[in-house]
Amino acid sequence: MTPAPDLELLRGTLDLLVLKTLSWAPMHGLAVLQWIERTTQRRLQVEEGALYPALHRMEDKGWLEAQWGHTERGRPAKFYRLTAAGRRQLTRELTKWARYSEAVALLIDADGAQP
Amino acid sequence: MSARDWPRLRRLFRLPTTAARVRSDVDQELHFHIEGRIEELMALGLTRADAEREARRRFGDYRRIESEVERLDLATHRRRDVRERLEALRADFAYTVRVLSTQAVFSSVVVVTLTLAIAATTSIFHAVDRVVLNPLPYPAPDRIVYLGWRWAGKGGIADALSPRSFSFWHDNAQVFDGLATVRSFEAVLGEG
Repeated sequence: MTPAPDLELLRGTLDLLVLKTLSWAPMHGLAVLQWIERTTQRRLQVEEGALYPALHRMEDKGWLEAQWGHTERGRPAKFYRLTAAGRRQLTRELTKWARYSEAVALLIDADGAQP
Repeated sequence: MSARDWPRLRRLFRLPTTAARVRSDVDQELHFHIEGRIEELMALGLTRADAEREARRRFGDYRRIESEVERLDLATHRRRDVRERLEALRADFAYTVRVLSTQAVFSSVVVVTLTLAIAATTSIFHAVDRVVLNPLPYPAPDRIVYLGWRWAGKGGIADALSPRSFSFWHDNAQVFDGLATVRSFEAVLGEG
């Protein structure tokens, strides 16, 4: 078995993860989660259920479009696709994330308190 | 046609999305997730019962999540319905304006006809209203007259009347049963 996930998800990062994942292809909720798990090597703790309110909220905001379709094995599933507005939001979230981690890195790398 | 074509049909006929429909969609979506997880875990060697327990544990509070997603969906649908209705209204209005503006002569005939018809109806109703439907609330309303005075050659009835003029009329006029004064004023009702 793979090691248990040990990183708690920071507030507000789930949107970024979902938008980025869906930027590759339309997927249903479970596939989004599996993709996140695989690419982050199962290090992030995502409360699985929390994914769905997030998906529907982003659909409401027009960042995602949902449509019922069928999986490869012929089961009905709800697929989500990134809209143009969603792509713009992804860019904003990526910028925000980059600035955030830069700021934290500045503090971590600082050489002690200045007088 | 499968049941999954319904959303499109619904949009076509503009029927409102029912709460029951939203609920069954949400249920189906969440169950698909849990069912998929159970299969994954069983492939790793868990029994069905263990797999189901583990899948539900990882999913979290099902009831809470279900009701939150339903609430979000209902809000989305409501907003979408309102938006579609407004768009239809705007389209109809734009179409009307476009058609009327390409046929200016016809449009002006329509406008003039409507204006005359409305004016005629209003005047006739006003007269009928006063004479037949709602005569003045006094005995013998047909004997009541409005008395005023005008400057020679200036036109228009003067509204102002001095107390002395009134008492002169009151004491000397012999063709009337009685005389009274009326005073009108403007008042703003409501806010603003």
